[in-house]
Amino acid sequence: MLKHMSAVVVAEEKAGAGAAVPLAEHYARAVLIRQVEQTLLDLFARGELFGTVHTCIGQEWTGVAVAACLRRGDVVLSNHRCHGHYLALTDDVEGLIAEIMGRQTGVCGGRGGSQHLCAEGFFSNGVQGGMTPAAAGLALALKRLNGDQIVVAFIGDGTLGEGTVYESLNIVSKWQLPVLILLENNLYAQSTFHEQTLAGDILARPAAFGIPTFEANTWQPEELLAQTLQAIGQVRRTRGPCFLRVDTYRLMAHSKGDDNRDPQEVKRHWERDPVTVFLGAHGEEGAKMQQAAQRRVAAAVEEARKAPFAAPLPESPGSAALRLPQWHRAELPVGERVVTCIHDALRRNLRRDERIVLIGEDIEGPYGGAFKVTRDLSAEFPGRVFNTPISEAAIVGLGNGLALAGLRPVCELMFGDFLTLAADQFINHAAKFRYMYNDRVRVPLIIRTPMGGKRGYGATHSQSLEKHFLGLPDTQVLAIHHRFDPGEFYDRLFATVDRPTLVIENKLLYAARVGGAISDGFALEYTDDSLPTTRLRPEGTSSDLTIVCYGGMLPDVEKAVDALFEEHEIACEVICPMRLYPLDVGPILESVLKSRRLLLVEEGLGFAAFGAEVAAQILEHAPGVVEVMARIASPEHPIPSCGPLEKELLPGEKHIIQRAREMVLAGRPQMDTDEHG
Amino acid sequence: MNTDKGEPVLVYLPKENNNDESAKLLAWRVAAGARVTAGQALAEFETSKTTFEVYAPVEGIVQYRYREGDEIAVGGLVCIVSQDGRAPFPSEQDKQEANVQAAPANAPAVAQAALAAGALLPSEPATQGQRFSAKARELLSRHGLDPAQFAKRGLVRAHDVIVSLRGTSPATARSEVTPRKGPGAGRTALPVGVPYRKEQIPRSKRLEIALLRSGAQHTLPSEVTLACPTLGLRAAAERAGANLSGVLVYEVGRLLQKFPAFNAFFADDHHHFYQEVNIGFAFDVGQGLKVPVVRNAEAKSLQEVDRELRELMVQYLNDELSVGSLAGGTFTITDLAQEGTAFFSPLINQSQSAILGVGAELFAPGQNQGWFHFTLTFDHQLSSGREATQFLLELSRRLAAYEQAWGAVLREEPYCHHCERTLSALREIKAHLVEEVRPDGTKGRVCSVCLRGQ
Repeated sequence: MLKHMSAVVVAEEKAGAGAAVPLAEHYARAVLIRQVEQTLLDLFARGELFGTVHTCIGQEWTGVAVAACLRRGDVVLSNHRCHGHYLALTDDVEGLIAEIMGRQTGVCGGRGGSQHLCAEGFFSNGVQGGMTPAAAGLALALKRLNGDQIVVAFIGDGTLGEGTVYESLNIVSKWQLPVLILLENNLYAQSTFHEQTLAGDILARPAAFGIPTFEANTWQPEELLAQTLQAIGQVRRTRGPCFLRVDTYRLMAHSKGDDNRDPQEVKRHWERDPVTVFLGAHGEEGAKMQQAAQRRVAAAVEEARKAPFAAPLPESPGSAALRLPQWHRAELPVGERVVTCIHDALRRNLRRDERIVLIGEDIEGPYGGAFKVTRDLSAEFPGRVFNTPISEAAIVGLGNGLALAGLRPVCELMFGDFLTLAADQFINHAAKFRYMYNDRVRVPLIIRTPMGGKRGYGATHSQSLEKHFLGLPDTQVLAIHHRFDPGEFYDRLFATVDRPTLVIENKLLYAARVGGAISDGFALEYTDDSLPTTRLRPEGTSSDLTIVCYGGMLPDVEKAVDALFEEHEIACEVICPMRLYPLDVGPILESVLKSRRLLLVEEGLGFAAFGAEVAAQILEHAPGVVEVMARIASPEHPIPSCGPLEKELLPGEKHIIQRAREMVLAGRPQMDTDEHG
Repeated sequence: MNTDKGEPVLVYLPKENNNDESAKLLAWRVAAGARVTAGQALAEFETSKTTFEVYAPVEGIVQYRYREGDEIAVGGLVCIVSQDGRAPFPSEQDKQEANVQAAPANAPAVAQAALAAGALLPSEPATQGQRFSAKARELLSRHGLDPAQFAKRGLVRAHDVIVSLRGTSPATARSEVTPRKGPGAGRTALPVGVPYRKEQIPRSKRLEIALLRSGAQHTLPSEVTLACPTLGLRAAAERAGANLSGVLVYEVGRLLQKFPAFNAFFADDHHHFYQEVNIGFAFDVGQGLKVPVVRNAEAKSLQEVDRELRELMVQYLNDELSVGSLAGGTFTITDLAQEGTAFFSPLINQSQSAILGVGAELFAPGQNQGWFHFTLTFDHQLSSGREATQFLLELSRRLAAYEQAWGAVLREEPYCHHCERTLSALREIKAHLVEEVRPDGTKGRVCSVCLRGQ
């Protein structure tokens, strides 16, 4: 069970720092935190914990001070060394210990563990700096609510090595977001002393971004309380960011058992440690605090030991069984250009759903995005469609924060090639939150990005990198194409999105028109799903070959299929899914069962890519059915910039025709189809 | 831009961005034939990203062909500005226009636009919900066939056309002609330890294999060989200007009416007797093995049959045999005599029940009298060895009559000019030859039978 923040003692700024709460109560909290940490170290030594623990012994006061100034609705984002922050805020000793002991009764059901905690108004993740853009996103969401809630993001001196921190500082300052960035400066990044890796001055960094700075330390707790209150108060009042550096010292190892620091130095700090000093100065009261803490913690450990370990996810019904798809015929008259369909859908949905927010580089009008998708939306929806700095990681991180806050962010990444810059935010944050946090949150994040070459943009602006993002549980990767109205696609997506979603929009398709006449003698069909698979089925004859493709390859495949019948009398069936992951292989399997030949076409590199996955799944479900299989993919080197060469190398109509002919004619006894029988 | 010389200036569509290969003509700003000044806006275009205008580079009269709503390729000709408004549109531009508007001129603008957008390739319009491949269309037009006779919907291949032409093919034919590869079907175990080279089979051979496989699969083949004495039937025929193949087809055509079991096929546990005699004669002299068919051989005269075979041979040699002349055979004759083959075992063709093989004439050195062999391979489900033998005996008897008629020419044996009986034949009926002098003074011979008026 989760302990509410009502356990947190709230301080009023006007009444002065901590005046409503005697200092001793704060110390009691710090003592409790220390007891928990020490017990955890002990449990670790006995082998009752998993992984490692990053204890905050010596730094307890930062959490205590922050908790004293927060209100309901504020959000704290923490890092790997989050126990103190968590306990100060929630007082949930029992949940934390059970969590770290891997029990179902833990904060996250035993799934998150020491570094990945989630409570009302509290999130932590173990990637340095990774939560800072999310902090900005959450703050952005809070700002829209017009209240006075704030976000506190805890980082360390070592975190200043990560780029996302600077992206976030830039954004929170430029956009004036209500975030307090609290840096616990304990001089060591894991084992590395700051002098080795930290250039310049800590406070000069936020100052460079125009963020007001504060400083304090844990050896003077009252001053720390005052500074914290002042900083938080300023954030609340100005609705802008502040930065608080708290000098402190970690008394125990970074993580269990890896302390190489000079023992003398450590000893010196033990001597000045405020909790130690307090306990020394208040013998009897201190002893009572310690005993109370010990009793509580011991009881928590006992309770935890009795509880069952974390449980596996229940099998989702029907995930194992394949079902044959239901097809219905479709007519898709030629319509608008794809880019217009997307634009109109975005506008439609922005009107319908207040929660939708569009962010990205250069998306505001009149420029309207590199591919002009967003055109004039910023004019119609000011404050909901706006430009970001060139910070792909932060763009997606903002999206994470907005999604956690319950909004519907749509992040446009100008080129799909730049997805790599946001990979950590997608893979280690967006994709992980739901499971790590034991299903307490959803991340309805949409990333839209164009992929694909044949425009001469060169190796870093022409790729199809989606394969690197396939297969992350609890995400989806979708590819639009011209045979299903992209507007309809987005309508359906916005209505159903509940997980991080990557939408691939092929560049060449933007200018193409949706729909139009299909090849004579073929039928266009969709499955019944909300994001259906499309099929081009040859009529009046069985198919000789199944061709699987998606997105921007569909027009090339269609042309090839037409020519293959026209010139070579080969009848192909095309299966074009819109959802690449998770993949419903049923339609493909059904087709291959009839044709026995499978050609997989994709524009990106082929190794361990979409085609390989389809082949593996077909093999798993129906070994022996496929007589011949081939994959067409990008050649194995970066994409050249020279236009004609690029068009020749990247998969296209010619490659498909040639490969199909090889596959079909090799085994087929040629019927004499001219007159000379 | 040679305005000084008064040459017309061609105005092309510029490339506005990297992502569009064409743009839509939204509106003309000037009327066709209007006079424009340099820098005047001529038309407004729309790309996937923006709209833009195209301006007149010089002063003059503007001519254009495109309509509002048309898609024009980047680099394509938009209009011409000329001094007199009568500049011809260059033919090259027609080609460029064609690149964009590859659909026929009466195709709707949207299809053209879609084409320009590279979205799809339009194919020929459907005929009653069908789509013919290029080869199929060629077959149709070559033979003046009506697409309407194809009840098949959807994709139609040339093969479907041929199958349809064959008309009365029994149900079994279909599966043979389009063999589908089922799992493990048709797989022979490959030898181990001996290297071999794998080659593709030419198309004509594939068809032949299929037809023969079908024949073999549905018959119980047996064969009868008959040795026929001859004094040189073939040579005699050639000397006399007739063709042995014509004689064979003519005679077999008649004979099959007496022996219908060899002009039939077996299927569904029933005998099916053809109501026509269409005799295929196998040719294999330079253009591959082909079997053109003489239809209704039983109703044609010897001259007609002979002429038709000559025609077919010419067509065969020129590789001009039509599909129609290769289809519908009910019986086949194959003649390997040219290579000196004594006799051989021909294979029954698809949907037939017999095939006649004709061997070469063999003479012992210095002998006038020789032999040639007939082999009849027949389907035992319809007939028997005895019947086959009867067939061959009758055939050889009929041919012998020819030989007697022509053989005399070869041997120059004395014969009666009236009835053409040779001396040896007359001897047998105890008649004789008498020399006569005709009214015109030429000498000849007449036999005693004719003298007596019999």
